[in-house]
Amino acid sequence: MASDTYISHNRTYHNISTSVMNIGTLINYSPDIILKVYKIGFSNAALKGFNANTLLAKTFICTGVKGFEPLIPSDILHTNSIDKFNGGIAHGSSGMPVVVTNPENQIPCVTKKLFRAFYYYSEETLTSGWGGTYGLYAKYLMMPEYQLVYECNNSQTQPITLRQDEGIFILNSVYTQSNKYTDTYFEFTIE
Amino acid sequence: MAQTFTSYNSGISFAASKVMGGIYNRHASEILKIRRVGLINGQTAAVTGVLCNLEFRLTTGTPTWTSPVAGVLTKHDSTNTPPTTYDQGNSGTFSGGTSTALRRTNWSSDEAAVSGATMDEMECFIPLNIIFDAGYGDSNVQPLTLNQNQMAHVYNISGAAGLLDTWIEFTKE
Repeated sequence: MASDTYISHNRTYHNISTSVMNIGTLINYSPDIILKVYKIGFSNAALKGFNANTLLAKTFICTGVKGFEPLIPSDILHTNSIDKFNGGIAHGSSGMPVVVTNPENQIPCVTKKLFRAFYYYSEETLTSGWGGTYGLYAKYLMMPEYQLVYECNNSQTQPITLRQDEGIFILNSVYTQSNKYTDTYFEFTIE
Repeated sequence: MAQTFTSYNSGISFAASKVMGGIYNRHASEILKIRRVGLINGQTAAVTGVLCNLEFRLTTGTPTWTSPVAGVLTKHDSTNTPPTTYDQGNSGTFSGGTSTALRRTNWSSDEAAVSGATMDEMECFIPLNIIFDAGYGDSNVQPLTLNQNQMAHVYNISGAAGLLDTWIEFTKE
């Protein structure tokens, strides 16, 4: 019997002056449920007119996330409503920590561990065409299967398991240029 | 379902005859099973890249791996207990044993650029750069099994420019 499955999908507008930005988050605050994350992905969502730059996003697995301000809820697909777990889960993007002393400390957790890193090229996707050097890379970055950051695709290994006060953050951590859109998503179950 | 871990090595500089990421099981009874291994281009600043020759290897016969730099170990479940006696990480001094190449890839160590769609940028796609995957759901196929004094590692034979990220997903049984 499949567990109730959800997708948290985020579209983040990069318009920041800090060097670290949260472009996707999933946190479990509840002692009563366990979140199991089976897929993490992203894609280029810049449509037109944006200057190209390379973003370096790093995905962290974090524990001890208390002290984080509420995040902006995003879309939910699959079964049921996230609302019935009101107060138990935070998801979305762009939420920033209460205390910011330096870029590293913007990661709102006691313990953070780099789980995956990936580069991301933020040129728009529609104006340059397949033949352009700018446009080609940007189009690859639109293809969801190319942009899987993590996938648990078998029953022999554990998915990423989030217990109380544990979370995942996708952090854009290098470039500061604004005016970019990035989509991220988490596919997870609640058990 | 076995306890699962990811060892992540970030920004490892290429050098000849270097372990870019590895797992060494030193325990007599714990078995470590390698499920997936991936690479990405870790170079962002301009560099004169070269063609590097990487192998993913199984080494048996009690190789020597001294002073490795520990990678970042993530438990897939915080209740997991890491292996008792083992090494995970990169670099150090490696020698001995009997190595078998399971995968080989030539790698461009040039930086990923905003103006290109070359091999350098293709090396940034995680799904395209998984060089070993035994976790595809068929329980009839064994993952790469490390018994005592056996090691699995990404080994750079030649090429000395640029940076590489490696990750290894493994279980303890």
